[in-house]
Amino acid sequence: MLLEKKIVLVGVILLTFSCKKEGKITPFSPSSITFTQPSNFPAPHYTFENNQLTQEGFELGRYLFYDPILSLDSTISCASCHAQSHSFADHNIPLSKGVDKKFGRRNAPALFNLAWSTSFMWDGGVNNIEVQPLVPLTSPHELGESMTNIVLKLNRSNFYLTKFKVLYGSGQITDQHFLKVLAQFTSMLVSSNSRYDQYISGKINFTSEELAGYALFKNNCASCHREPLFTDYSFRNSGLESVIQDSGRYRITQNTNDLGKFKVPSLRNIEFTYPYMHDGRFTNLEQVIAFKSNGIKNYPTLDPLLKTPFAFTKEEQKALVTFLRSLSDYEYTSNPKYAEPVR
Amino acid sequence: MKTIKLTIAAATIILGLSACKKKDTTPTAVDAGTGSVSVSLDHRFGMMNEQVMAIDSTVIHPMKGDTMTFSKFKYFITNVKFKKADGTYWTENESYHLIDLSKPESLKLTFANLPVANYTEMAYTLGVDSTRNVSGAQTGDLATTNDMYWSWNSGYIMLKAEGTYKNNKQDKIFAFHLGGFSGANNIVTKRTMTFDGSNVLNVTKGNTAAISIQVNPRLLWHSAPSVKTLNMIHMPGAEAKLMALGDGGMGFFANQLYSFKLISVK
Repeated sequence: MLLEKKIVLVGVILLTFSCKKEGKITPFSPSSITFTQPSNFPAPHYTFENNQLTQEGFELGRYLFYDPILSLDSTISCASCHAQSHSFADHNIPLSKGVDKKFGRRNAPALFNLAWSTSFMWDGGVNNIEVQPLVPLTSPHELGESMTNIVLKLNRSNFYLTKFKVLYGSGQITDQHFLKVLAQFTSMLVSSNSRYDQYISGKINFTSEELAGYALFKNNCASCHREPLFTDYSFRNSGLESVIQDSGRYRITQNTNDLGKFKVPSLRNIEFTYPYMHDGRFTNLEQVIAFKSNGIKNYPTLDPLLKTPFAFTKEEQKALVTFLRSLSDYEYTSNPKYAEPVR
Repeated sequence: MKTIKLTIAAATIILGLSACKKKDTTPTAVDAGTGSVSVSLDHRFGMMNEQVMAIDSTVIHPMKGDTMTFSKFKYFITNVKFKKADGTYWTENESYHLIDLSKPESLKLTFANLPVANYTEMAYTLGVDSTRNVSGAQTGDLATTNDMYWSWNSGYIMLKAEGTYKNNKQDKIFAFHLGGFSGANNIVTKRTMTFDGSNVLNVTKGNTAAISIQVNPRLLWHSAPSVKTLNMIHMPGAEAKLMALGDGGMGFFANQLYSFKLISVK
């Protein structure tokens, strides 16, 4: 071979390889998915900024949600106290048991439509869905584990190392990666197919009792339990106590005007999530409506809207309960994409 | 003919070698090169920085008289930038540094690729800006695995001081976790350090200019009471502000004269 030809060949080879990027050998790239906003819902609060939503990320978050590896003694997962059949509330107990059989302080809330939530926990102490899991994971009354140990355990698992590598390309799982994928799962938990939603979209008719309940609801309850999410995410004292047992929002703000205030819970799927209130004191909806009707106790921070008793009649109370049951989304509690994954 | 062939061959090689060369990221008109700056933090106690502060060694507070032994002392220096003589800044990207007295490597910060220039000021922040406190999961020195984050009341612990103090010859525990990034509870403090006189910060090509600073945390107790009176802070609020900012800006974060003292620039 002539010298020139050899040189040209070397040059061509160089040309061929010089543009190849280093170390970017991924078996396949994660597939983007989009967050679907129900037609009767406003835009979500969480926008997945800096957290590219992918099928693999969502699935990985789902694996983690159901994995007891996250707890101190590998006995408890997120799903232990957030069961899909109960709209991701606990199994009808007032307070949940964590590692070492310690009870939590407040009723485990149902999980749905979290992408719209402006704060998390009953007292709103958590400001972003990505950092919410830190509370139950590290609380000695719940999963009781440290973030350092969780990251260590995940990095020892070939199952998770492989799955995280597909997403982040790194051979090391960080707490940030872990929290991001968990947020992909939890923020995708959307419940929007109750009888109420079908009625609003004109697919079905309400019964006369549902209609009566809905009318009462709109006149008396909707200013705090604002449609269509059935909460305005504000903090209010709903008149449970004349002597405050749990300082509520005050714990976060240290402002005495916040004593005994808790976040207004959404009423969606409420049929599945008994017992009710932050401490699980009421076991059924009839008790809650009876309390709202005539049982509200006065306190300096009592919500101004609750100062006059609603004094609903028995028929009105029944109609309200019937309307609340129209907020049950059975598709949500049985949707296989949120169920425990098979490994 | 042969010469032409060779020329083409050589040109092809050059093309191959240079085809994907990355563009220079420094768009300066005259590229005078870059250098580095290192910042060494030497932690001291006492009125005149005369007591060396180290993990597990005992220091005495000059004003309160408290005998204290620190088992943990950590805080954040963030958003560091250097001001050139022409008034423009070199700004560090992702500028979050967790200073940990138990980790010697964290006590020397290195800033690389500063354009060659005379710098007159270092601007920095003690604490973590509000954006990073509300933007979800972070990484690096802001990772939650560093134990500098409040889970139940979202936000960074911007300074953590733990240890023991003597009370009637008994060892008692103290734990001060200071934070707060918004409203009345905000302790995040922007600060500057000026280089002039004998301390000129000249960054020259390929060299490292070394800044030495003495840090004196005694100022946490300038306005706060003796550790015998107040030995625990676990959330943002008035007490955290008293230690970090202090009365009249005399606290550790706010005090521009004594908490961070420039010793030398070499």
